[in-house]
Amino acid sequence: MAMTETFRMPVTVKFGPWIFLILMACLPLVLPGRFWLHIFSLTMIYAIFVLGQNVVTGWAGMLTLGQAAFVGMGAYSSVLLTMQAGVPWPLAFLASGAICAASGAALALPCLRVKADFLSLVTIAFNQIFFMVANNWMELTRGPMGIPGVPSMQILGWKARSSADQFWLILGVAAILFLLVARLMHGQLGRTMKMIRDDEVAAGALGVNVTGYKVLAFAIGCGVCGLGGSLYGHYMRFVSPDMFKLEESLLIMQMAILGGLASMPGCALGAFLMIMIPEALRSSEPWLITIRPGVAGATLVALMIWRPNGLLGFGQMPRSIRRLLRLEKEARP
Amino acid sequence: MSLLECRDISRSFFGVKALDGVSLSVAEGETLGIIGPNGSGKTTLFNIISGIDRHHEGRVSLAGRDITEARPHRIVGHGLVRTFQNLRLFKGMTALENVVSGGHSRSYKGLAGQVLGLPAMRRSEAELDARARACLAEVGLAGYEDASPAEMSYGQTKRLELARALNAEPRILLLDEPTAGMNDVQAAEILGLVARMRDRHGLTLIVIEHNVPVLSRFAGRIVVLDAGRKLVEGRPEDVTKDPRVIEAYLGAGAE
Repeated sequence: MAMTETFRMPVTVKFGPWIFLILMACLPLVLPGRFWLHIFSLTMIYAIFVLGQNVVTGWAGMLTLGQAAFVGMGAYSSVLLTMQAGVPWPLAFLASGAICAASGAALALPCLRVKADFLSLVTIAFNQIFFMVANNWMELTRGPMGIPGVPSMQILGWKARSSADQFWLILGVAAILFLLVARLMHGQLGRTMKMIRDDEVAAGALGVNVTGYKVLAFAIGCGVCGLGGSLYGHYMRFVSPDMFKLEESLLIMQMAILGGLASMPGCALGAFLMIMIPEALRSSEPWLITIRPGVAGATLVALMIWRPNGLLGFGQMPRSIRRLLRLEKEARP
Repeated sequence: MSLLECRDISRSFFGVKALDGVSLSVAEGETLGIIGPNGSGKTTLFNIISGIDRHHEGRVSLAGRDITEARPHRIVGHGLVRTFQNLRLFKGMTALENVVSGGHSRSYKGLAGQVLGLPAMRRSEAELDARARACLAEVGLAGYEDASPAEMSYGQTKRLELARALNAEPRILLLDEPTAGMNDVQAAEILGLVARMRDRHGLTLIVIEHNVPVLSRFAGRIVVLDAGRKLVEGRPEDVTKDPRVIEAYLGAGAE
């Protein structure tokens, strides 16, 4: 959205993200026990994965289903760099983002030769290839045994030891990533990606280098997933190929759709709900345990029926709410 | 000197010749009308000139520069912009964003600048926004900035597409049936708007049009395509009386 005098956001929308950030930062002080802190840390990490997915799918309109491969690539890169090469975590973190951005751009090239559904198939295949390699390259990854004993995140001698420390560090990284990506997606880059998403031919006819921007979308989206992957590996203190299977990619995609494609807060909301729903259904009631695996799927089916653009998908937001948030002007001739 | 020059353009689809050795040239400031029955190759010609279709024979040059092999986004950079018969508006964007998108070539594209919010980026975005509002006002859509294309009438979406094309700052504008599906009054209104745009911005125009009477008052020269060939070319009053043109439109033997 361009900066103009006429477009004035209400205070709640403008400062909403900052208020949310402050409230989140207070969570470790009020939450009882480590379990819920763990759930929230996990949610933030997944929100980063969903952010990466959303850049490629929500803004640039390409339905990829292999983001878990990039999460895994980021996690393994970071873990191996710190444990085998002795690289400090912040550097390994940045390196894993760069590695995934480069691999994402490389994967984009064959992907651009195929359309829509086939793009999904190519990315699914890539996810499978990544899993196979991680599972079989014993010398590097220890295969299905995984790599235990991963050191926690550490910045210049300060080590995130307690759950609260880890929570704050993840919150900080996630906030920075969301801020950076939001700046890009709300400006020229996001607009150009939306042009490609809505109509590739028209975008090209207006001077958009469609191929270039698609590769860029892949690089950014996969790079973000790689950075999230680094956090994931060092937070879980363990990586194994099982953590990055196709099911994981589908989960990330479900989160993106549930929250609403091309919606920044939707990334966080989708991740939160998809992690929280199964947790909320943890119970001693046998019937609840029986239906638990199906609830996430049922949620999505209901969503597709009533809110096909996701919970925070802009296009589907009722006009009354859009007016209330003053995302739309009331007066019109 | 001619601004746009097409020489011997041929294009076949699975053996069927959609265009067969068509040549035409357009002078700076001229308005050229293209008419012809359905399937005569009008839109194919536009696709080839604008670089969307690059599987053809023949050469296209713009202001003396060969653009035959150029990709669409490069051609826009040389000042050639087109519209589409079926509009192709960006449905997920507001009217204003659609028009802002038209100025893509001028926009500030540096990633670091966008992340840091550098002044150069802010200036560029402010300029795009102001220009887009001016373009919307010029086509008579002031006040519709926040409307979605889906909520606009057919005539309004046609105007919106014109505003988007105008914001791309063309030297030469290719309009593919700007008045399709409109009655004579609406058609005259749209072409009147296009004529005002042409005069104000010094545009060169190529217009595909079915409404021959309305086009005749507006174009300086008309080319008639039939079955992929150039049938007739000349002043509107001569072309519309030409027996070959009447035959192409009404079929052989028609009285």
